[in-house]
Amino acid sequence: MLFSWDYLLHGFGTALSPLNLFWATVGCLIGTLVGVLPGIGPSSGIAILLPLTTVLPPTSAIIMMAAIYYGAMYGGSTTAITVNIPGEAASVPTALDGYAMAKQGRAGPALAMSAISSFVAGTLSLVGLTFFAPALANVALAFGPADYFALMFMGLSLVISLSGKALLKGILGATIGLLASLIGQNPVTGAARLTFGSVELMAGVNFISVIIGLFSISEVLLTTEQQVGHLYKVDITHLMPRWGDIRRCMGAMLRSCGVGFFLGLLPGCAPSVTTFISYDLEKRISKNSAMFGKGAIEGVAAAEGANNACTSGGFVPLFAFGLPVAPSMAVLLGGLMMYGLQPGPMLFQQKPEFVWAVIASMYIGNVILLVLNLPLVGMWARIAMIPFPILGPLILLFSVIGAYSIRGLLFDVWIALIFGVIGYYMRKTGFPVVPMVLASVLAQMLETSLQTALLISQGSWLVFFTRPIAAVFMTLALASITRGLWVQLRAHRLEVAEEDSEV
Amino acid sequence: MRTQRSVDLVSGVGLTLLGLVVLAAATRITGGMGMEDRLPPRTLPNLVGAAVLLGGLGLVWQAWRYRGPVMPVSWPGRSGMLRNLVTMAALAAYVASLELLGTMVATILFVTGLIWYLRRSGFISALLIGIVCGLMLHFVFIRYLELSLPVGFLFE
Repeated sequence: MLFSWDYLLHGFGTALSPLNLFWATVGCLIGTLVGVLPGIGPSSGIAILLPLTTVLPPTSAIIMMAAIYYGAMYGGSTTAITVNIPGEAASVPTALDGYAMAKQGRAGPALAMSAISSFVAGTLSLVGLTFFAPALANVALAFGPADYFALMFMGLSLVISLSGKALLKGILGATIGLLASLIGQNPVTGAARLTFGSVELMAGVNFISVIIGLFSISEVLLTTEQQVGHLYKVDITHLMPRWGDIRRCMGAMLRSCGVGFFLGLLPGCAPSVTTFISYDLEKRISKNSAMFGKGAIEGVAAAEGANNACTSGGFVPLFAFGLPVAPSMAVLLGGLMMYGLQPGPMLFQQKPEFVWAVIASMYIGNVILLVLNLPLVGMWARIAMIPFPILGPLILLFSVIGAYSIRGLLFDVWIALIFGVIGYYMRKTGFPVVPMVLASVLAQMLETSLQTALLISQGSWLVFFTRPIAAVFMTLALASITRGLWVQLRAHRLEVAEEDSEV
Repeated sequence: MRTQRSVDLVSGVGLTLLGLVVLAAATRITGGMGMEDRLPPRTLPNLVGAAVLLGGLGLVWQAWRYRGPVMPVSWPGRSGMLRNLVTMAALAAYVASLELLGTMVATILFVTGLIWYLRRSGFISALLIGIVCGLMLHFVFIRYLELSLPVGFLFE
């Protein structure tokens, strides 16, 4: 199935229904809040709220979750510009010039340019998503279980790029994620595994609990130990940028859109990396390069445009293949699975009304964010002043409620607490947490496709190398793993992961 | 546990032991519904257990042979550690009391207590925030949105 105007228009019809419009607006507001508040990122925000959305229809719930994700990308720039504290890792380049502009009394134009560039690049990249995703999904229709296993295995090999300088620790984290997902009943045979006789463990370890623990609870512990108090204030006066500013930034907006969208398609290329690449590119080609880092408005436009375009780009492999290329996408994939929706080509075939409504809602969400962010920017900056001793307990409260709401089991909350402590230890000792999340989300699909493929091939493992599509994915995955291991073995150093981005 | 090397040694040993436990536990997995000839139910637990075991040994080996500059681990000081311990203890007490006290009462106690402890001042404002959170969870999440959160002895 290729792109169809009928489907898109129908999607707009669904997305513009009062109920979906309401939840998209709520998602944009929560997302901006999540982006504004340091200590909670899009992955944690979505993970905490995901179980609470079970009262909504799937379309409204996923529309809201997606809105939280791209809303967080908008919101992260507010604190970066006003108080030099990026709400998200992806907003660090924004802080370089945005805060310099704020110190010169131009916080308003920096914030406005950030919102405008986010809107322009975000909307243009959505056009890419609209045409690319169904075309790729069409290709993926030819995939059998063996090809899917190979694709998921390649997805798992993203651990190599997500581990950064700590490859062995990343692989260990991923194996612990797989291990956690093996606990409970075998999805095909029903045999009990690694339950140690516990009735609670028979139900398995829910990956949403794992995510809540690793991201939210560990983040609160890391901040609590530092006794973080207040941020400080900045005055926002003239909001709108000058016409000359907009003209200077047009090129940066378009280039950042291209860079962000295409890097967003690549596995493991998080918005935090993409914004730096886009910022660096703009600095290299700008006639005003000497001003970068000292208050160049093009720097703000380049970073924020790439940030939002990358977000849309990441939805292409998610919708077309069911492959999450970033931590937040892994959590969103978990959300889709929670509703019994399997992203991939069949989603376009079987649930076109759902997938096109979500895509259409993103266009609408971009408009909502522009409208919300420009007049409310002062309010967002003030919200960032909430002291952490108040914010921390509230994040923990919603983490507990979120974990409990998954299945109504206290067991899931204890699992979140345990993984909160594990996440804290991992982040203190240089273990990257993102590979563990990726593995725990992909594990179920990986195992099911493996079992089905082996059933069809009558137990022959050669099926993963004799089918052309599977062979290509397996070769890419094995090459990526081999290269990563080789580089690691030659390094002769202790492994310490860099702070996980986009958490 | 003050240097990266010692942390890696301890983590590696812990993971090696975990791998051994998983491999031992995998031997107790019994068969499913005649699918053993395709993918025996022990295969994946065995593979993952072996990967954890080998990875743990690899971490030990890597740390053992490291002779570079000392890399300190930024553990919190005494007060930071105490704050984290109190936070986790409060969280555990909240979870443990959730079904008995119900979401509203347990939330009021948890939020008020933890905010008051972390701020070290402003008990009244902490109490107000706690009450607002408790009421919101009860009336919005439980009553209006009908989420299956525990209501406790007060409302049963």
